[in-house]
Amino acid sequence: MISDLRLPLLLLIGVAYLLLLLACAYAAERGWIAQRWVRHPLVHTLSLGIYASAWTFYGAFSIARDSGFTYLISYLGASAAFMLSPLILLPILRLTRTYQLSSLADLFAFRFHSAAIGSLTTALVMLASLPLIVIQIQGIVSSIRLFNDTLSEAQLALAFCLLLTLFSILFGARHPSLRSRHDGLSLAIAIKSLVKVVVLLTLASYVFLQVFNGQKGLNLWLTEHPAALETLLSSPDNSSWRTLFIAFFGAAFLTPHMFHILFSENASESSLRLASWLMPLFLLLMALAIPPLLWTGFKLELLGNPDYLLLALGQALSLDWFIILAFIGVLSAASGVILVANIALASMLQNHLLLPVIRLPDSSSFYRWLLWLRRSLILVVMSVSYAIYLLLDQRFSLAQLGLITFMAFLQFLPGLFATLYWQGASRVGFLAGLSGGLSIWLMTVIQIYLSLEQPSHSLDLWYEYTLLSLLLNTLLLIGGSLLFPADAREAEHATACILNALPRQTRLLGHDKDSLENLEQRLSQRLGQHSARREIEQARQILDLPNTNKLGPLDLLKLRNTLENNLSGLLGPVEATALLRPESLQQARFRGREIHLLEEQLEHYDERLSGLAAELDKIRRFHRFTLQRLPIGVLTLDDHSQILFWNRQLQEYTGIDANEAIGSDLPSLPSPWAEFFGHFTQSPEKLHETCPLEHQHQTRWFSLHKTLVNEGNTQGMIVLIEDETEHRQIANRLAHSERLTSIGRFAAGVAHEIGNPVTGIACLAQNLKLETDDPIILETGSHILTQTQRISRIVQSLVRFAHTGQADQLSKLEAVNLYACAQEAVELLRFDERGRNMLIMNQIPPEYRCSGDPQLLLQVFVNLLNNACDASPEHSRIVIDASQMQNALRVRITDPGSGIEPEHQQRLFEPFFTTKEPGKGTGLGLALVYNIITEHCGNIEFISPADKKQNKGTQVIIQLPLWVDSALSTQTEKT
Amino acid sequence: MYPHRLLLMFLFVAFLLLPAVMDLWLFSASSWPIPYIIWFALILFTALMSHRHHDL
Repeated sequence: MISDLRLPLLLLIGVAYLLLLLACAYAAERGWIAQRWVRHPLVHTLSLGIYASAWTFYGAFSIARDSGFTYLISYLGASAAFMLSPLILLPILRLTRTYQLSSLADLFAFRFHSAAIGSLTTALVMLASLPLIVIQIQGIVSSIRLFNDTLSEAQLALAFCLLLTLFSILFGARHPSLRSRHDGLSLAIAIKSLVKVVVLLTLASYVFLQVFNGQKGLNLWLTEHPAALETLLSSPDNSSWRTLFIAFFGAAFLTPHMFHILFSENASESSLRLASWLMPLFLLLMALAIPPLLWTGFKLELLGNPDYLLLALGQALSLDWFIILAFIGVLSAASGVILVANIALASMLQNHLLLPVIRLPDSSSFYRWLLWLRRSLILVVMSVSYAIYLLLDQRFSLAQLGLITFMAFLQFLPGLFATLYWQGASRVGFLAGLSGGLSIWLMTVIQIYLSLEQPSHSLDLWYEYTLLSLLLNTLLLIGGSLLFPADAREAEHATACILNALPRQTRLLGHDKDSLENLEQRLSQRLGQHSARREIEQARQILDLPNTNKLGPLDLLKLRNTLENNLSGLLGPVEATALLRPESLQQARFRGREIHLLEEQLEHYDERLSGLAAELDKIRRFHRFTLQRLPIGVLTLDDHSQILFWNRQLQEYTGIDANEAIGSDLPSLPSPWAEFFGHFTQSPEKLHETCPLEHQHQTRWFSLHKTLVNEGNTQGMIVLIEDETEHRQIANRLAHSERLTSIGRFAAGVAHEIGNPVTGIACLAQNLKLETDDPIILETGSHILTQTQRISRIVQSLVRFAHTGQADQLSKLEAVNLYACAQEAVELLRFDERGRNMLIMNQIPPEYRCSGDPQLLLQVFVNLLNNACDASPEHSRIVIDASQMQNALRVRITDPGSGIEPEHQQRLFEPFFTTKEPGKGTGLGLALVYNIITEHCGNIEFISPADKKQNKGTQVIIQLPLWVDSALSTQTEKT
Repeated sequence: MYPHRLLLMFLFVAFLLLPAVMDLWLFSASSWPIPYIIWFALILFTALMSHRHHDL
């Protein structure tokens, strides 16, 4: 009994140490310690040192004493697991991250597509973990009793269990989500690992330097005591160490605390790559400390009870600090394993044994309920462990307990290898193998426990039975899988698990008809309405989706995936998947990774890719950028007319956002696009040139090209859409210009021919006037002369028009009295019968003056009034009025006629276009009017029908520049 | 996937040879530090390989 050191002081130091770790964890959670340090890969790698449990501090000395270097097997087995991380640990990490798996039970439940397997695995892991926890309890209790053996083991164990229950809850049960990272816990475990290795190395260094006086002293002592070295170097009597190697290899990742730290608390592959060599180095340093300490025990004759050699050495050397350090070391080892094992086991029990059978409360305290459930489970785990500790009553040494637990976990190894490397493994084979292996294990445990022999003599049985159980497990797995192959759903999960394989997809997008209402309804059935709505709202906020009940297919898919990820953290992936898969999909194939969600994840993944993957991603981005930025629309469809790609140009053409379009069926697009694209995709032609489309009250023209995609499993169609509207308008303008040019040439010829007879008429009219005094004849003659002059001016305009191709500059600008000009036109029209029968009202204010050529403007009024008279019934009222704008005058000529047909309105100013009967009009009137108004820097427009109620009449609106007295009157520049 | 399976096959073969290798490693050493030195050499090799990885 170690009595020099006061026990209360040691316990106080122990509790203070645990509280200090709790404080560090709290500081990390609150962000008082920089995140870049807390989440550094080195911290996570060090936290893997949790593998070194109380067994390492105590049990290793037993094996080293009895079997020499065989004690290295426990370290070498784990080292091999880490060194082979690219083949084992990294694939598991990718699976757990991809499919939100947080435990071994989640992994097997996912792989074999069976919630029952998850439940069975949970129960077996719980059973196998109990001896592991008992080791820690036993190590601490026995250490304390070395100071005072009058203390009750049961009471000490109870106090320790209660303390660890409290710390487990404080460290790891503060958030409802299982996938929440516990940065504080990782930091605390990393500190413990550091403490363990520092403690062992410190103690070993002390004895090396002080007891043996360095290397020379040690060599001298070993030479004098060859038995000490022989024990270490000699081969073991049996080959049981080979089985141990496999057991500890599996223990490095199959035990719940190691699985949790490796995969649930891990954020990146970089920390696992670091761990592939750093963890073996950590274990090497711990293993290196054993021989000096063992030889010191040999020297001081303290190897009667090697399990507690460290404390005995401290006592023998009379060093309180030695004892304190050793105690702190074993406390670090024991408490770390219990803490993480509690958290991991509670999560597994919650997900796989409780939640599938109990109904969650429908209230706002749903999350608190989940949290308290997990805390209760932690208490249950510790209570059962305490009960097993009392039941075993220290019949087994620490080394033996370690062997019991690691042998049990070894039974999951064949199933795990099948998960990673054999698609053919079925759930029947897995169950058969597991059952067979664990049956042998269980029978052996019971047999030895009930045996009258000392347990230590039956240790040899362990290795034989372990090999037998492993062999039976593997054979049953293979045989069962061959006899009862996996079904389709299992096979797809198996494919998803195979190393570096992406799941096979039948469609590039999920083709379900889910809706927001369905999602809420399904969640409500399980979580209650309040919690369901809260989860949906939370997912919406994460994705920044609009607050509407109508979400596009792609948005709905993203929402469902986010919900699944969030609920996986709360309820586990099995429950989450069962909640969110519609019945149709649960019967259908396993959901593959939809291509767009994959691309979205790759968008955020670019910094983490390296090597060839990074190069491939760059190429992918470049091609995607090219497609997105093409100046023509690109539409891609799958074989079910579901839209897969919708680039930016198409977005501009249609006004439909890509997020709304992608995932939709083509017929579900808004009109007219659904019909427009649907008609083309169904037609046999691969090219439709310049198809008109009425959209938003205007006509646009598009050219459509399509090509079919038929490569392997990928079927679909690519459609290119080019907007030809501008081209069409340019072509129209060009044609119009060509027509005007040809008309101009034609008009020039006609003008020359007309000129001669008009000159003749003018001469005759002049002669007529000279030869008579009759006032009527004189007046008639004057009118003839006036009209011939008009003809001459028109001819001159036509000639000018023909020579320049457009109306030339006005010869002179003067102030034109609009009232007088219009009145003159009215007077001229009275010469025509139709003009006489009309009531033409000139309501232009007499003071209005515009800038222009009076003769040309007279021609405008004559032509327009002529057209108005032709279109209106007899005795109709034609009104001419005007209004003044800022720098212009607006003249309106309104008639109650038949109006202008809409299809004619675009062609009014075309030369030779007329709706009159042949011979009644040349079609040049409005063309000339248009040219004259344009020459005057004005504009002209027609409104028909002028009277919308009666749907008749036409109003012509002419805008002419206002005459400004100070303006130059000689000429104006035309732009 | 196939290169990994090939590597896995090599590892299984190595696993079969492992007992003999470890016999030599642990129990045939003439000096007690030698197993640790070999172990350290393996760690260095692993560290070197992990820095030269290409992730696909």
